[in-house]
Amino acid sequence: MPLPDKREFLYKILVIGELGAGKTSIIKRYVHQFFSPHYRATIGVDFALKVINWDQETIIRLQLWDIAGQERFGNMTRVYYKEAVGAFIVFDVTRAATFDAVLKWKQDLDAKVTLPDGNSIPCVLLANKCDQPKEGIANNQNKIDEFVKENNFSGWFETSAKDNINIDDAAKMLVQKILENDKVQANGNSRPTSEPMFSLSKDQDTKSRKNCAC
Amino acid sequence: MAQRKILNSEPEACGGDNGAKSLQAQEDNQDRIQIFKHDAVSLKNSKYSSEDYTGILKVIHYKEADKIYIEWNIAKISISSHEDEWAMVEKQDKVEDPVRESVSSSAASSSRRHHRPHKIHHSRRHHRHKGSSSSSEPLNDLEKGNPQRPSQALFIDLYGIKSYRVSKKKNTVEIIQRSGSKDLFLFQNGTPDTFIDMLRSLLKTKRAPGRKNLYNVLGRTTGPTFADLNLFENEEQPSTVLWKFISNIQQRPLETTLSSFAKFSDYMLYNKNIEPHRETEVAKVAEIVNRTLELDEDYTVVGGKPISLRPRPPVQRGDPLSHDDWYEVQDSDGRVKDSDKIKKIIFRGGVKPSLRMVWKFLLGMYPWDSTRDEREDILKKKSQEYHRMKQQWQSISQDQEDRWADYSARKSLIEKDVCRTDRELPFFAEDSQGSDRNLQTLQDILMTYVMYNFDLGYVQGMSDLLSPLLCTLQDEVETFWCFVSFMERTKHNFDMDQAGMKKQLGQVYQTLSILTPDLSTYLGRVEASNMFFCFRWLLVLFKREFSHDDIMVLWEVLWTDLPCPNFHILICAAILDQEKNNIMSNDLGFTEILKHVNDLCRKLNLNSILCNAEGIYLQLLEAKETLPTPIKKMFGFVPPDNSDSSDCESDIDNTKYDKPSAPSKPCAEPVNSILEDGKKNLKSADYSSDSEDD
Repeated sequence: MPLPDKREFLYKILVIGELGAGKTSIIKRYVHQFFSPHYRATIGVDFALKVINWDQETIIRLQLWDIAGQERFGNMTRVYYKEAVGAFIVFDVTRAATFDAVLKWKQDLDAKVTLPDGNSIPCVLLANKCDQPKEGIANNQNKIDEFVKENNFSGWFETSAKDNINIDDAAKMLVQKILENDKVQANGNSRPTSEPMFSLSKDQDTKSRKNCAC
Repeated sequence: MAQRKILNSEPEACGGDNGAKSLQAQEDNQDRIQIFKHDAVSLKNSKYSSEDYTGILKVIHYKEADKIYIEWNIAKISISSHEDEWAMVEKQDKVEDPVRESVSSSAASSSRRHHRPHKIHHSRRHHRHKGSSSSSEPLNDLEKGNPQRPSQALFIDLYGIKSYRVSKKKNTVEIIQRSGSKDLFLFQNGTPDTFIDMLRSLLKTKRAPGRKNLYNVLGRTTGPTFADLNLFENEEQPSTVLWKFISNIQQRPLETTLSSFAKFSDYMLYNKNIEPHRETEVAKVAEIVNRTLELDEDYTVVGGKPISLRPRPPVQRGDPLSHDDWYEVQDSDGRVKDSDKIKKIIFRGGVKPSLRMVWKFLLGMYPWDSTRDEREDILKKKSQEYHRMKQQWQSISQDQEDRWADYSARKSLIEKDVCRTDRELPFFAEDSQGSDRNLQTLQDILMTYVMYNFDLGYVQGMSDLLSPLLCTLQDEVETFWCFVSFMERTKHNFDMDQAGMKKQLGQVYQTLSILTPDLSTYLGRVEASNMFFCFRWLLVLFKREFSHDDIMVLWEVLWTDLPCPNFHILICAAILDQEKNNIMSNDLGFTEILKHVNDLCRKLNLNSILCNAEGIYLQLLEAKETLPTPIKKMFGFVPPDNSDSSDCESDIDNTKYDKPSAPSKPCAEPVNSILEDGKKNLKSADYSSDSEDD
């Protein structure tokens, strides 16, 4: 039976952070429900697409940009950041140095991409490899809470790509923020909020349902 | 009369009957020619009060209606995709292949055609995609109905435009229609210059008296005239033009001259109506420009006419270097008497896997003309040197390391990467006792390399370059020294400022603009001329793109330095040339090209790419006199800078490279033709890099 008007959103999400923090592993876990400790180091950028049935009326597609963590390649990332509407910054709880770099990544992100209204794009901090012994600040939740507030993150999660901990929840939070932004933007622009960016006509939509990868 | 509509999508997609729908339907048939496209343009008008939404600005010629519309579509992200991967649907019934059809900004009729339907909005093809990314079924539903309906779009009839106002500072263009409507386009990532050029090519304009940036539309252009060159600024008084030019030429002589000449050459390139008797004059001017300007590699002066390359000669691969070949060229003391012959065989066929110890010669660890005894001595020395440097880092205590951040950082990078380098190879798998000895050796070599070249240290990608060497040579010391040589060739890939990578990305683009100008023009139009999608190819020399076996062949071919310097740039060009139709006929944008190229990983046929790359070399060689200087330098057709001319009096025909017989027919006996000819003494430009002087 044809469903009523179905909304569809496509969002570009950046996944950044120090080399070896687990960006690729998080994406592969999230998209393919699979973990390997041996994913190759990303060179340049890799892509993945995650489809979420957000609610009855909404399909959300996340285009995940898995960006190499090596600092040296940072000066080409401006092009990669273009048009992103959300980001994850990943650090490795077993290596305090990867946390120390988080702020650098956040500043880089905010400098290179903003929402159309000039605000920074929503960004969720992921404290990855939480299945392993932590080093430094990762042991102190309050401190991270503070850090996250101070530096304008949308929130943070302890994650483990290996044990599949909190990755879905983190993504949910990010999408929630993105949707909220979309509504604000739309209101500010006197554009009807109910109107989706991408709209499906009925017949295609019903067929699409069964093939969703999520 | 000017048409201008804001479209809002409605649930009854197919029910509404308005002008928008018919326009959209047209979009999906072949009547529609895209003249211009620009990403990341936001719109400001009475409806859109802010720059909240980014969109794509296009100019479309609807041939049948003879209407040209400026179209702006809201787009968060301008990619098409579907569930699992972003495979493109290939269009089966595509009729024409715009191989050499160049894109003209001055005449819509010579624009490349874009057959809209095969770029499919992801929302429309769910039911079809499953596992059939290369589905060849005709896309009937798309062609017959269900046109894509952007939810937000603006159409402006080009011939309804009254005037336009340009702000170069703000990167905006405001279009004022005869109806009085105003729409302001903001170009977020650059200048509106290409858009303005396009407008000027289609509309006759005149600067409004007393208004600096306002241009009134007088009517359509009838055909390209000299004024269309816009050699100087638009419609200004000649005296103003002259003084401006003079002031520019004082301040920025090279840029000013080049941009003026570039306008000439664009005109020549894209204008097919040059009178025949003018052609020689045009060519002469181009030649003068090329000779007069000692050009930086950033600039390319293109000859007055597009450089016409002859059809690509077919090339065949040969047999790999065999033990017989190898021992045949050695004297009783183990000197390799004819390294050129060996290199030629390797260039054409690679090396038999069991004979890959020749890499030690190819990479320069051993001079070709060293005797067995000499090599033993070299190995002894190199071994001592290696262990000395290894000892250095091995003796650093944890305590010391804690106070040595630079060292510690390098070590940490290496540890992170080693454990994820080529782990699918049995060579790097843990054995039954859980030991990973070879992985440890990989790490030791990289750590020792940090001591060998601390400033370069370790950069991601190096472990990829090392792994095949270790797998093949297995000996730690020999692998290290071969790696050192390999890094000598590739170290600029890892420059701190990325200069080496930028240079090579630029070289790929320059090569494409000669080899297949329609592709380079296309890439420029979709803002992909930065060639970032070749980044991984170049950084690790295609390591990620080919299988383990193939990459060894490719690298040994590259290490011969035949047939020319920078042959790897021609490999890039060959792959892109092969993918050209996929890219252009699917109308891929920057992101989609990036994705498409990433997905070529392990799907490329090495032999055909090598043959094509060599074929391209032969095409360029044949046209070498007409090539721009940077290209000539890149491929060794002229001596490189600052070299003594007496070194380089030989031309490319006298190099160690043998052409594969007559270019017009396939080389039947490539190996034999190589074997016949062993005595080549003259050096090519500077790339005959074997260690004769060692």
